Amino acid sequence: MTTHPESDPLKSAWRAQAIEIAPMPLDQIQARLKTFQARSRRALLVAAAAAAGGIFIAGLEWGAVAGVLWRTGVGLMAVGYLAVLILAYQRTQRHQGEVSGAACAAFLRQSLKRRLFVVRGGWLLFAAPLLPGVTVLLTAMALRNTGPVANFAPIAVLGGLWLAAMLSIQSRAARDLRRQLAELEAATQA
Amino acid sequence: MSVIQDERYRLAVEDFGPALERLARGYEADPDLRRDLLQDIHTALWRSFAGYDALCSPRTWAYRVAHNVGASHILKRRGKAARQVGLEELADAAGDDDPERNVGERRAMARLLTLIQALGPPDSQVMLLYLEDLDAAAIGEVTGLSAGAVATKIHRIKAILARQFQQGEG
Repeated sequence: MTTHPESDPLKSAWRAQAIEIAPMPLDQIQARLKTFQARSRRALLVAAAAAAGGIFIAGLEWGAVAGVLWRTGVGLMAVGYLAVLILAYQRTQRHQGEVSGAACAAFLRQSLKRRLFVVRGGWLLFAAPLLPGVTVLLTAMALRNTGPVANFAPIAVLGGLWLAAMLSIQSRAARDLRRQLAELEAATQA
Repeated sequence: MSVIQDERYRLAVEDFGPALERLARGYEADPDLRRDLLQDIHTALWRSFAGYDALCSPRTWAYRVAHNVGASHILKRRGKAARQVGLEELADAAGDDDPERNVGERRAMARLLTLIQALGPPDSQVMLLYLEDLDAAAIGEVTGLSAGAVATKIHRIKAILARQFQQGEG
């Protein structure tokens, strides 16, 4: 199967290409790693600031309206913000360790499966911690005003449309990912 | 450990540095993004040698790490980049070729890069390793594909390359 590059003009030409980029010195690698870590920390700080803002607003809202349901909703929102922050932290930590010397097919399979999980609804996990709080707050607001149906209808319609659009886009992405996974399986088992 | 890690990285770059740059060309057409990708590959390679288990050769390890970084790059950019095709589709498209366009080594190389970049992993990985003159067993070790699948892909790659370049020269 192997041919000497000299006997294959295309291989020879491929290997004879001019090298344009100088080797990367170790201090440059360290600097790049520091930049990467700083970027991850910044992303985490933004998530922490957003969560702190959410908890702060929840604190202000705590006393704004009387009622057990309202306060339960505010409390659940505060817990939800914390949970989202923890999820964001875990995700950042996972990405920092993502260097793999595994065989390419195994690495590719793992990456494709991770993406498939996300497009098949895994992304909801990141929004899920906020859902109980939002639901309870909306219910409290609806009960306080003109009744649940009148208040929920526009939000439910918008939410439904958004969800339908997301599901349609993501089902296409999932189909493509499943095709790639099937091709990969066939290639590794042939 | 850090000294050993540094030394392993230095040796890998000494032996495979040019191959890593060619590999980056196979994954990214844009020069600025390619430079970034190559730096990501070097950074990942240096980091990876902290956990190098010597169960495979440094060459296999270096190619695996580099191709895994390349595959991650492709997956991240897939939404923005042109649609990728399989070897079969590429073989069909090769018949529409105008031989007069295959003039000169530089142009042939540009066309070869376009072909590789149109393929997705693992096809592009097999093609790049084939061009680096690795044999089927070594390609199988890097990619984790079965010997049969590698042999089939190399057979198709050879047919595509022959149709794309040799006919044009004749």
